[in-house]
Amino acid sequence: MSLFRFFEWLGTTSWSIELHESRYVFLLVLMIHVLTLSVFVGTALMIDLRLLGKTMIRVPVSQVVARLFPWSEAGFLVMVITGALLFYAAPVMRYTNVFFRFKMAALLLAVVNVALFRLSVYRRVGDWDVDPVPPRRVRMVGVVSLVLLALIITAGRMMAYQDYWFG
Amino acid sequence: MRMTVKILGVIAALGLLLAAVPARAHHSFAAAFDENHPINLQGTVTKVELVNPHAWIWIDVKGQDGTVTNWGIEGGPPTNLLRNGITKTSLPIGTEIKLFGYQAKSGEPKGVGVFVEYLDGRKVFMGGSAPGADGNPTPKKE
Amino acid sequence: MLLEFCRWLQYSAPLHAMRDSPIFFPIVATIHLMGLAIIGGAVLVVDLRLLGFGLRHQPAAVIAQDAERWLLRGLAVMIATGILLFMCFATKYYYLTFFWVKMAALFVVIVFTWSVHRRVAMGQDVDTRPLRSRLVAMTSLLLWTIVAIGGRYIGFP
Repeated sequence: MSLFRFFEWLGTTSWSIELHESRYVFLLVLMIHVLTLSVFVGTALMIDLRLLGKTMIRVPVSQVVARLFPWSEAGFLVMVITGALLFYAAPVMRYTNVFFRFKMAALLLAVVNVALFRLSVYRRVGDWDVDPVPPRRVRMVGVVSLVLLALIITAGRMMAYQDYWFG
Repeated sequence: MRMTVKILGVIAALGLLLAAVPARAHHSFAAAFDENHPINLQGTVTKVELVNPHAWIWIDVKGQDGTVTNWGIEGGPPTNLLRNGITKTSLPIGTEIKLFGYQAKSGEPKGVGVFVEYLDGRKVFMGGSAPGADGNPTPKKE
Repeated sequence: MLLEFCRWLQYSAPLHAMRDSPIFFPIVATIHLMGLAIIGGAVLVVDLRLLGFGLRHQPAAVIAQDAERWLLRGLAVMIATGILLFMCFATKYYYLTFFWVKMAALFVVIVFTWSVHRRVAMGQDVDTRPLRSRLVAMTSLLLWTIVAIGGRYIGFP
């Protein structure tokens, strides 16, 4: 069974229809999804700014990462759950939405960027932990992260205008 | 202060970049509607989609030459329509109704609805992006 | 009177031309959200610290000092884009209760942040007077949340 067929079927399930036609639930989920970006992206942003040496330069990088990242992860979890619900409300519409696909790709890249950072460059954090401005390698990770987050936000917002750009 | 200017500058550049993406499609979502093209439709209901975030009412409109065009009119979320009295069963397929709204910029048979009017004169506002769809008086543009 | 001003704002020629572009609103709305992320980060970093979470091994005043600059930048972005968004739907927002609720809440939170909140966060007693710190942080978070929710209500069609 193809993915498209699966999503087609998913959209016919009673809960999907109820969610799509709901009076309050969908809008509530949407509100939580949009507002939680202030937590997920907000804290990630502060970490990235530290990597760039643009904020809290007197605080060791390892402290910023260790103490703020869990909050970004928590925000991320809420966004994934609410995002999944929003997807479930109209699976085919989302799946075929070009901006949605772009958003998921950017999101994946953002996660990969963080994972690679932790597995390689960050291992040597002791070398530059207290530097106000970390080395170039580290700054690049911050830049890539910020760009991807900006693209995720943009693609998410543009999903409503799919018909205009690609109808 | 300089950093703020730098940030606003980066964001402005981003905005311009986004704006530069060519509009490949010639179709326009009803969200890009034309306030200079109000539409007064009368036709029979073919489909009512009471879905989030925008509800849609589809009607078959018979033109003067006899051709039938299916128009799609967008409203607000279900909560707005339900509050104003439109439920899934208020407009069964085949019901004759009137719709007032504004046409999509693309010229497609789509638009944003201001209100639904039953043949007995009752008006129900569709609560959406159209000016006046919230039921409030719209000051006319000059 | 105010309605007249809103009508003028929404329909006056130069501004209307800008509005007429179908991509204007989506792009401005997107940038508005980026501002939300900036404000979110700047507010959370300080209020989490005041609550005893986040960067709790750092002096609160240091965190607050750095975050304040970013809060100002985030506000600059959101207010600038907010004004542009308002100009697209001025007469509609005039009638929307939640718009005025948001504006009032925004005014209150700005005043609160730059008076009580600032004094506490940049003071020396953050850790010696934890109850006061937590109260100030929770008030701040609550006020910002009201502003944010109000914003979403406006955003609903």
